[in-house]
Amino acid sequence: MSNSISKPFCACSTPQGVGGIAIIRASGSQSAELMDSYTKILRTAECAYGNEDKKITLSGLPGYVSAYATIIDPVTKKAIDNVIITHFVAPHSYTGDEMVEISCHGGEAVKQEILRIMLENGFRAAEPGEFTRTAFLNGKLDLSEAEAVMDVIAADSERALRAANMQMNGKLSKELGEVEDIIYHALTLIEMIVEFPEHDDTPDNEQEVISMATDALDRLNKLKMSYAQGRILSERMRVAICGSPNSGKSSLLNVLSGYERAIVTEVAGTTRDTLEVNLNINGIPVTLIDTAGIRDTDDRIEAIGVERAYKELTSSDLVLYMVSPTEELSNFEFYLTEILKSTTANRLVLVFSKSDAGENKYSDAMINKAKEAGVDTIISISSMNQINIEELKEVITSYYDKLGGSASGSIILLNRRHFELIDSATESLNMAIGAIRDGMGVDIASSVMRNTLEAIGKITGKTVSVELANNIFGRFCIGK
Amino acid sequence: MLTINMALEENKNAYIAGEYDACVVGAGHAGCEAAHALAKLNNKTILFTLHLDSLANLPCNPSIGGTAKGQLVREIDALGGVMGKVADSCAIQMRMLNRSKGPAVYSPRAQMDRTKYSYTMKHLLENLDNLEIKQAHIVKLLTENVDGKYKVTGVLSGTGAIYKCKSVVICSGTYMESRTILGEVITESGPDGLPRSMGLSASLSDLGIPMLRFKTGTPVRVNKKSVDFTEMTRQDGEDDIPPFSFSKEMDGFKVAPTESQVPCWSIWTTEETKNIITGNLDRSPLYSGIIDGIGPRYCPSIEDKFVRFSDKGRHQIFVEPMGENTNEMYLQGFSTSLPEDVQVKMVRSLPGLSNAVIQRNAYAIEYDLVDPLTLKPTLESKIVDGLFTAGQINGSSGYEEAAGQGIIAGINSAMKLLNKEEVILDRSEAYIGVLIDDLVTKGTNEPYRMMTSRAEYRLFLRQDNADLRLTPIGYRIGLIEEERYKDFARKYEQVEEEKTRLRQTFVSSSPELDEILINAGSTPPKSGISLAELIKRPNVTYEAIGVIDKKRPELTISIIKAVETDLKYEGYLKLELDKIEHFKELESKKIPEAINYEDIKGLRLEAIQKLSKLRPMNVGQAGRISGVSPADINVLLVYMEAHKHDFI
Repeated sequence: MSNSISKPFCACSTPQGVGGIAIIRASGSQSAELMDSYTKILRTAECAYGNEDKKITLSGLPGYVSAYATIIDPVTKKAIDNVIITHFVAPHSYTGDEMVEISCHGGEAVKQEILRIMLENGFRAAEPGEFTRTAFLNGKLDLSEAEAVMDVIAADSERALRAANMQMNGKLSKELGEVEDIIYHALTLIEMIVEFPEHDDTPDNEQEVISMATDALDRLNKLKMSYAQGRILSERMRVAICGSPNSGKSSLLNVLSGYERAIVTEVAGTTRDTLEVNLNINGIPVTLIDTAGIRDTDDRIEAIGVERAYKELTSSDLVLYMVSPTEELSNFEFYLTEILKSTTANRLVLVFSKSDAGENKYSDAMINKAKEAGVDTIISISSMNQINIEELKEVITSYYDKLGGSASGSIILLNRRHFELIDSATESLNMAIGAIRDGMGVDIASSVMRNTLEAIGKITGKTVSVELANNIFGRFCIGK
Repeated sequence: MLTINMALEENKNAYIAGEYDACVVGAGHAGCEAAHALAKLNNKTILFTLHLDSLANLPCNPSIGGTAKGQLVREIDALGGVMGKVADSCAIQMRMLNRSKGPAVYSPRAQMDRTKYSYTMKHLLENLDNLEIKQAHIVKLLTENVDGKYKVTGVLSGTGAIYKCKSVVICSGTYMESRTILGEVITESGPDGLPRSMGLSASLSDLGIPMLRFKTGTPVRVNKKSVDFTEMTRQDGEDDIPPFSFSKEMDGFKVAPTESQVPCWSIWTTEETKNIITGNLDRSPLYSGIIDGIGPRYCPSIEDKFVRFSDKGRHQIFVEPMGENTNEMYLQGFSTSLPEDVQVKMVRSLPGLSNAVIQRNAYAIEYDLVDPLTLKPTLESKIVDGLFTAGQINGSSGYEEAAGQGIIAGINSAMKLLNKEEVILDRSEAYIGVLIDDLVTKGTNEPYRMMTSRAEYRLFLRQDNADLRLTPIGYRIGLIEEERYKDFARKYEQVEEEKTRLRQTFVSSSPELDEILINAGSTPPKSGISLAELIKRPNVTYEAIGVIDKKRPELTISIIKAVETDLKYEGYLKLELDKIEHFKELESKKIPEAINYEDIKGLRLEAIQKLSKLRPMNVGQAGRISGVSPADINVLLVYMEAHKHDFI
């Protein structure tokens, strides 16, 4: 039983590395009592510094009450750190069991020392996601809420957080619940057709079934489309900057990211490899990729960089093609064609750079060529003088806005697993509608619609899945 | 508890009449299948009936099969049971229902010659080795207490005969403590005026088995001579369908041609019928409180239909022949327990029946049954070792439902006697599996009728592939003979050969082909196309493309249908198999026996109570208990995963 699941567990809940403070959490019955021997309460709201008479202990603190305390190594009797410690009484805690939360100083050594003392004195180390799993087992949240908790934790931009919160508040479940109801109703109609075939008064509900299934399909398709935005919110939007050497790619990266991330020099071909920087543009999580300059080169290392640059374009959401005032028309045309082999015209933005240094003399011809190729978004900027930078950001934002096609405030799918399930749900629902239309028989439709329900149920929790139940908490980090 | 010695002491007529491996009490559809399976599997068996002339009686519909029920008959046959064979030789009309609704719900149904069915079954069983049939009234189950648990030792008849045995299968149908109700007239009898079973119910209850009480009913029978068929719609039989029995088909048995089948008729209730019924509801024992048993929702009496579906002005009634050598016609959909004088008026308000002569009255019947929640999926009692129950005693309704349980109870009773592994069909294997799982996991508060919608995987559980699903099991346990199994294997070899041939035979546009396709609402192929691809198209059938497929081999209807279904529904079947795989995953997730549901705080209180009471074997079964939600199962799964090291 020494490492039994019922033993209280602890972990550091703040990220690794040095921070101002760190939070260590413990959960399980008698967590506070276990810590009493090495936690000296110095002060609470009611009890002044050094008041030895009252002998306030951690386990004696009521729920939700914090205290200023010292953690003392029980063997060496040395003070480890002065901390703020909070006691939570079951079931009024995150996990639903008794909990203790320690806010200590953020140094790695301090954290490790406190954890060591706890582990040597009655606690075991938490498994990944165990705090949330315990909350789940204690009925504090359901599986889809647990999954949403993870999305909230992972959200690293304001919009992602908004979408994740919406999910946590059950908006997605509610929408999917309504879709499920429609499909259940359609299934009931099918059963009426099938179950009493001898009876002439059994209504022929096929058309009604089709119209209900179509309604459900529309709603699922909307959700599915929202993942174009959701994917960006959860996995970031990749914006690649490409162009001939010295076309100002790195300068743009620097001005967008606000500090000198890339090495900007006057020598063409400085950026031999791709360089990435994460930033938020108007609330959208963006990864900017500064690619190697694209040009024919004999330099082997640089050639690898160029090849990598093209590869980068393929996996990017948006490509900024930088053209400097000195770019030759023939070069421009050649590279435009090359770039469009790796991306599509609607993803490509033509950026005339260094507008402070004058206009490219072929710009009209270039614009015409670009438009012929289907590239509509063209902008002229100066990174040095910060001209049209805000407008360029707007180009990126509006690309995002157009993706989902959905009105603001509606639900955005964030999670790839959800997207894949909705995708499979729409696929089977389409099949069901097709089966009725083709006269394959309503029972085929009913069978296939059950696949739709099963897929949706894996999000709403109506479909029990061993895999999900076993894995969902494992996807959390330790301490969550 | 009554032991053999106690019975000998108490009753001066008591004597030891014999010693058997198994006693089957009740020779209805469940009892006949159970006795047949036991005897076939080399167990010395005795089958008791209250009346030898009513063995395998059809006291209600003179028909076998129908939606979901037809599937059950095919499954029983595929396992090696007898119902399908007897039904084939006693059928006077056959049809395939749901032809336009898709292959999963095609359901064979046949009108039976009722008396022929009874004596054909009787004769078949009389000729079986290892089986005795005895007319006797079994009044007590004899048991002993072994290590705190009851165990069967035999049965006692009303005349004092003690039959010692190791296993008892009770298939008491609607006979235990039954009474029939016709208006205010209550008769203590079984159906069809037959004697009822007395004492047995109390003897089960004494052992701590919880008993329930249900009711069901049957309509009047009228003399054909008094019926004006010109006012009715004729329904003929069909002959392009296989028989119920897979083995009969292999032997070359064919359904009789349509013209030599007997027709059925359909009519609608009139405004007058409605007025008579609604005007006499105060005389209905259902509404006056005389009947307290719970009736079947899906087979309601006509007064129930008018009350519950008051928006419907009329209901359809089918007039069906009871046999070839009788004038009796059965009014399907018109069962009632209203008084006799009202029945006469009701029947005569129907089209074509204004001069009807009623030969048998309609009545309701109430009977005792055991709570099926006390059964294992083998149909053995959790309370009494060696006691099996099957049929209406377990809360079901219908001949086919009874027979399906009968064969499983018989097989498992035999398996236990032979110390072999039990046979449990799961929900993805058979309707029989769905039926039994529903009864023992969810229980029932009304007579349970099988419906296709109860089966989650009905695209796979088709009547045409019942042999593919179950004959290997029947063969493994010994109910299917070597020869038949070889035929079966050969059949599916032919199916595969034909599928391959169709996949490899290419045709291109031709006037003949184009015409077939255009007639089916399809389009001529642009280039060469395989015959298999053609069959995949909507409305294009194997039969239709026969003209352009000159080299096709001669095949039975079953093989053709199997080939057609496999090809046409390939994509859909794949999705079905995905679902089955997911289902199997949950079924194979065993719940540790030591689990204490009260420790799992995330479970709702109701779930804790239900799970603690039923103690399901696996997560799949747990999820089907009423009152246990998917959220509870998720909690259970996470709990089991978190505690997996605690349960070894």
